[in-house]
Amino acid sequence: MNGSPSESEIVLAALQDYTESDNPSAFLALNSGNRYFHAEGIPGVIVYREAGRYLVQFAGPFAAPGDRGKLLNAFVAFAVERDREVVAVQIQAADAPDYLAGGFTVNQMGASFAVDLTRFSLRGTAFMQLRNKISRAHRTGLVVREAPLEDWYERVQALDAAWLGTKGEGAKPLEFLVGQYGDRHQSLRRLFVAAIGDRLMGYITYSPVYGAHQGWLHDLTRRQPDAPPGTMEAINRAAIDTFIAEGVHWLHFGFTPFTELERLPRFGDYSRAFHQFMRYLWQHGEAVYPAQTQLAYKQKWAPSHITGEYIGFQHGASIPALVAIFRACNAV
Amino acid sequence: MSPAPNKMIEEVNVSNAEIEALSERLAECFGDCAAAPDDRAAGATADQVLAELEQLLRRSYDAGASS
Repeated sequence: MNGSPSESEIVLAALQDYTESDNPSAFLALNSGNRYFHAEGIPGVIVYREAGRYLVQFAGPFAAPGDRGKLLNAFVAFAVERDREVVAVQIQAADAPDYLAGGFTVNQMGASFAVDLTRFSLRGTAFMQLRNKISRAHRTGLVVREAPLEDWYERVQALDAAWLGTKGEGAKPLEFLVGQYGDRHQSLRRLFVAAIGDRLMGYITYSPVYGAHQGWLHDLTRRQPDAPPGTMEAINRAAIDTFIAEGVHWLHFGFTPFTELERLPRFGDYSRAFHQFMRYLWQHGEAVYPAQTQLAYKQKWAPSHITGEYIGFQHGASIPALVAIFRACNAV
Repeated sequence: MSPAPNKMIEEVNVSNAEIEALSERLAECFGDCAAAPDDRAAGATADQVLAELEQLLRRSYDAGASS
């Protein structure tokens, strides 16, 4: 019998142990389809996917602060051996120095948002519209509960098919930078469902967030095309109530690209042109990614903790490298 | 001696129009790269546009900084 930990278990341990970068989306490192790079003598792991001539790294290296630069350098050498170029997405501010030291150009790509549940309440005029929307949803007969996936799996799958059908012909489900369910790590996730009778109308999965801002990540979000308005808000409200009762500190809403480009830190000799292009995509890039729509939902909850999400280019800012990220996500 | 204020405004306005035009071209380039199975040619064009925009932005910044 093999008593060695599986690679997945090794990666999970790394996410839980190496949290200094404070990446709220780190749990997505466990997504199936990801590959893992390890270097002899350097504890830790780098998570990546191959997209054409690029190795698209997810997050910074999951390693101790003193090892991150070494692991990154080893990964770059690995890429060079294979005639590949590294582009890193969703690296955090704390990761930036290692990338700059490695000759990367680091640019902001967007931001992540989180709510401090210890200070959160839906009372007051600021949330009146949201409360009313949730109330109207419940008046349709909508009931929200936390549920084990196994009890709802077939209905979740059927809903996913219906939801994907609304995205247009040939639409593909996104990968890499979005959550999954039903894998070996399902026991670490939480599922909240909204139903009218037995009919599933929507669901939200929550993935664990480790480290200084420990809590839950509002992850996969899907609903029926004919779900009552306010369904998702009702689900998240129920989840928030549960988390607050449990003493959870943070609810993370994760990464939205092209957002918060004016007031978060910039690093080194970043590309002004790429930064401007991110601004342009915020204004005009709905077809590339519906950032404004996504942000509008997150802002309903008045997130107070906003952190930069960065992209690292091995050989300077590059549009094909950006496209490689979208390819890795199955978005193009 | 710094440029006269009207000339500076004119330069900035021209620059903003150029910035917008180059940004639109970058969006087109993004689409071309995404559509190409091998995006080396499209990628080279895209990165040339990016370089052009970079030059313009740094020139605009320098012009503003010298006022």
